[in-house]
Amino acid sequence: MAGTGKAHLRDGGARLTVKDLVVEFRTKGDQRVQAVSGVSFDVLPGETLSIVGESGCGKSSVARAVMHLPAPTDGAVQLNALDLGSLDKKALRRSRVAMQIVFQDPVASLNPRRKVKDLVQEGASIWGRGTAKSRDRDAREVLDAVGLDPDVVWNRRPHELSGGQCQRVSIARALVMEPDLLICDEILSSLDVSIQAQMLNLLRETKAQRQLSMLFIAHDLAVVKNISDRILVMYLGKVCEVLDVEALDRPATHHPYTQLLLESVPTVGSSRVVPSKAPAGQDLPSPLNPPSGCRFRTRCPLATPRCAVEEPRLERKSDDQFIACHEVA
Amino acid sequence: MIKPLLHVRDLRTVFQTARGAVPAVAGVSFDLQAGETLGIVGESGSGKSVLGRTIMGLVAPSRTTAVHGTVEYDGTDLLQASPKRRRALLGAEIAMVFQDPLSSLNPVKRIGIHLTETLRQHRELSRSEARKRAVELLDMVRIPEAARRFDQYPHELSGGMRQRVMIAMALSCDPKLLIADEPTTALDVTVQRQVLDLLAVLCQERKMATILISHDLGIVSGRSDRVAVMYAGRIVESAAAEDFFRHQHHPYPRGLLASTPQLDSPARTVLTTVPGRPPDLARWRGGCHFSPRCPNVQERCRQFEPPVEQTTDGRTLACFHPVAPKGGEVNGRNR
Amino acid sequence: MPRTEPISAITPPAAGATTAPPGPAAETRPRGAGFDVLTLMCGLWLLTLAVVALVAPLLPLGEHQDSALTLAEPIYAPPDLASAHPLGTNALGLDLLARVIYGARISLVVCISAVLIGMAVGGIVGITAGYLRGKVDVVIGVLTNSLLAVPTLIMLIALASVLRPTPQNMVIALSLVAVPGMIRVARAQTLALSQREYVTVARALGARRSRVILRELLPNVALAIIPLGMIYISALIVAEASLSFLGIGIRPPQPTWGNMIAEGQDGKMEQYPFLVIVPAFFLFLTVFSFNLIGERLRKVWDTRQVKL
Repeated sequence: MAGTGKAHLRDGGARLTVKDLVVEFRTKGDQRVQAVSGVSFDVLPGETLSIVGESGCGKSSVARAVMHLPAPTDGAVQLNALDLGSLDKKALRRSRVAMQIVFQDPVASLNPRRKVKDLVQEGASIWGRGTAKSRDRDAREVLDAVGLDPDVVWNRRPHELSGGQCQRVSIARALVMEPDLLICDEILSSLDVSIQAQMLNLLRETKAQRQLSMLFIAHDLAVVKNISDRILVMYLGKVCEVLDVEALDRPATHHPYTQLLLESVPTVGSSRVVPSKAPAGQDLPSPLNPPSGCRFRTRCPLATPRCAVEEPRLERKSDDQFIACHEVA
Repeated sequence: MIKPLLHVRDLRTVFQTARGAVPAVAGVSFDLQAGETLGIVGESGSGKSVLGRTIMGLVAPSRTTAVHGTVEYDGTDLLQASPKRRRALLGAEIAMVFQDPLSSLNPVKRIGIHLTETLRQHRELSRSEARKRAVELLDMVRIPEAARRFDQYPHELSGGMRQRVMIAMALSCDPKLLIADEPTTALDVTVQRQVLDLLAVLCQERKMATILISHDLGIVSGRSDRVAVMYAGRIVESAAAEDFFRHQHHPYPRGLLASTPQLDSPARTVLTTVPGRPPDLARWRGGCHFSPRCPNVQERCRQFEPPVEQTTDGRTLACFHPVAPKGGEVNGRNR
Repeated sequence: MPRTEPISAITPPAAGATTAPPGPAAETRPRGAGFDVLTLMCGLWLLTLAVVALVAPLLPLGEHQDSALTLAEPIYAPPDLASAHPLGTNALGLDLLARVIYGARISLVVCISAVLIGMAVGGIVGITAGYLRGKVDVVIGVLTNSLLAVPTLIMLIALASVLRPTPQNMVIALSLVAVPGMIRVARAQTLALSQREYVTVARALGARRSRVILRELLPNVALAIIPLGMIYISALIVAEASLSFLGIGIRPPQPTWGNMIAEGQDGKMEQYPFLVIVPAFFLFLTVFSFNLIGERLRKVWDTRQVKL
């Protein structure tokens, strides 16, 4: 299939490698919708890769497909050079522990009926790791590491905690399993600004301490820039651009969609925004019937007839930037 | 001085809950001139949404809710006005745009019905006139193929389009005051920009006063004449937007701004954060509400609530120990 | 006027305003979590009834069943709180208070057991269907819908004609009424809850299906079916009474509220209204209480779910 290219993949040493990932859903009318159509990327040990895009671009589907929850329709997911697709159910359950996921809604991620101590120890108790005593100790340690006082929260239930605290419990629950890869699916979007900043700092520290690889799913480029090493921009199930975060700091040409995202980030400052009087841009096209050729062409200011027939592939623009566009080269 | 369009004095909204009295809005005062945009920023629980709803008269006093103070719109005290008088003002002169456009639109009513209903309630219009006006309104908020959208249901529209419909509904009777409560929080960034731009243009064209409520300083920045930051039910600092973003005196807005990730700051910047979290209003035992999180806290702050004071440069400030701008003193900066 | 100038000013509120009392509302007592006097009284009623029914053999009550022992007692004695028969006697001189209390024993035991069985079976089947989906779900769905399609009373009458009218058989028959509704609610809850992230997280941590069902889903589904159970108890009390009234439930002389009401047939009710009023009053209060408490529980737990 006309993939989006693999020019940006690096040779060897990756902790996570995803190739030609396809995620398909069936709708009620038995139609098939591709939420993700041929996405490839890799994450090195200790690296944070962010996936950015608007809602409906398939970024959360990528996260779940990597976890095999459920397994992707097509494509390969390799964790530490082990192909997850080739594993049987039991082996998959075991190797999935090396990847942990934290979700957007801090409260829905925690079973309301359980106490914090049980929530954090859940993984260890599933796998029968250690003794009750050592589990308690590990849980306390990791709660402390995410900035919660174990003595205070130990016997609390989720509804007695704030959103930020719940999110910390979720992170603690993931970290207790000592994962190689932490997947964060929009974990900041439901938190307040001041809490968001605390979490960003926490994630950055944790990652450095534990040599953690992170897959960070988000929609806000300013947040993403703060935490990532590498950024992958997705649009309607396809990759538009892959770039190292440093490329954002120098004047560079970007994929028109990345450019649109960059311009849409609200900036704080005393200067007045001049509102554009341009007519409403086109909405996101339906994923049921994506545009031919380049999927962004219906909203793209640079679109040419070529974009409707030929799908652009990711091409190397510089050492740290790969763009899938016919017009920007 | 020109008489303000909206004159709010010492507004308080107190909810009785099982855990005690929660003063969600605890003494808010401000004036809003015709055509002016006031940006109100605060985190969840700061009382910013309750403030908007109280002004709008959507928080009805009851056994569990008490509303005190003055909300004077164009000479009428909205809190004292008869229900009939209030109904005549709401929707016609004062309109509101809510956060979630899906739950604010009735799923079984067509888009057009939403619009014509408000129109026909406040104005004597025939069915066909109302329809014509509704299509014009949809056009005005730049909804493509307005005539076709008229007969569609809310779920057939995207989030951005639904929010545009909400704006069209709010503007249908040419209000003089628009309260926009987190109008773009449910939307994607690219759509957010479009909707905010649309609001700004419409407000300018119609000389409409606007209260823009948001949790994000970035949304208010560059789109308001004045900015007010709320914390624990009070406006802790307010100033003309330009002055506000140049320097914040109160440590809370300072912290809020420092903890917002910026696109133009270098990658992987360690953010300065505001430690801790907002206070539990039901359990509050006096002192400045920000004192537990404040870097400049002193003994006095823990005991007394700082009063809201007006500085000479047109700011208001509720802080005993404000942060002075470099090379200037706090209260003496005359313009 | 240039836009950059501060057009309006925020003046400070009047001195001392920040410490002003919040107003009259502060004095009103905060409402509790949805429990009020009525609920409390209903709870008290059920508690009293349960305790009295439980210790009935120990209470100094008149004879409730064996008419051989009541040959000397007055028949159709009207209620008189001061007499030996505070609620009167029936055609055989049996004490109505005793009969009503022993009737409560049967009604409560039969109906609560039936609902417990219904909750257990319905809950397990519903969660299984909702979690596994696919063919299992389809088969269970068809069975549930066919059970629901048969009118309750007709099904019970049909069962009564097959089974001997012992309390055990009543439990079986009545639990069949509760099961399909329980399955539906449990299944719907499971479908909703399995979309919750914490279920996904448990799987990401390597939890097996059984663990997900028992530890993550069951406690939350229980919150939904317990209030429904309360409401079902009241429905089953009525159903049981109807069967007894029709003479195909538990038969006299063993008292149940239904067959006690049936004693008022053949014009006796006009003459001795208390024959019907006494059991009907107990029936009414009990059904009302179960309904009300079930409804309140649902509300309280619902809001908790929403808050979460």
